[in-house]
Amino acid sequence: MIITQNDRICLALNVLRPGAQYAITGNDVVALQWLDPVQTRPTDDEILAAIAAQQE
Amino acid sequence: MSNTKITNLANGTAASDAAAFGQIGLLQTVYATYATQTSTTSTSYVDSGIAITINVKLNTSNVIIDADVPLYITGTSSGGAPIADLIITNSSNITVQEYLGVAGSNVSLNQPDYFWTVRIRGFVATPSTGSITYKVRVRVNSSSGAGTNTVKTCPSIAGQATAFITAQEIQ
Repeated sequence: MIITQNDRICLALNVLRPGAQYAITGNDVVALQWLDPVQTRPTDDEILAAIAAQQE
Repeated sequence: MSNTKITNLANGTAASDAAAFGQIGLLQTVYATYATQTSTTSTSYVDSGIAITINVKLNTSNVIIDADVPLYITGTSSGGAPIADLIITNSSNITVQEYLGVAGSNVSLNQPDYFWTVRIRGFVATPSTGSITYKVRVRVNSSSGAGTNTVKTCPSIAGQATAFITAQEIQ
């Protein structure tokens, strides 16, 4: 199984904002489209920190 | 062979004259590929990146759009029901053809994930000549199970999957 940065961003968002609605194309967190009407978008740094925590 | 002569023709083009006399069925075919993963948890349609642009020659034509869309759907619950919807639209997001519940599962697995390729096609009359873009959009079906359901196009899970899309202008 190949895990890309796109997958890692999704996994991080599942932890940071469970059930949130978003879309992302490619592997750059800057491309994240935040579509959730209730939950706020985490910052890029929060997402990258959550990804780093998953890899520890 | 008829001996009838064609007279009083206006200035035209080879393509338009041939089409006018029923000598053309297929005017052109264009194709594109796309191989970047898009992931969405949204129940509203988002662009997958899979798109095709065709430069329509005649305003009396129709266009057939045909795409192979690699999908990977995942869920976080034990309900096991992530479901994907697909739609073909023009560049203004006007629907050409919608495929509801085109891929999914209804089995009780913990954190289910599936991948396969879905074919989606659409047929549309061209309103005018010139460049028109058609695109494939994707969303999570609102009847999906509990938890976070994610639909991915052109997934990378087992090597980078490639989408293939064609558009044909026909008379």
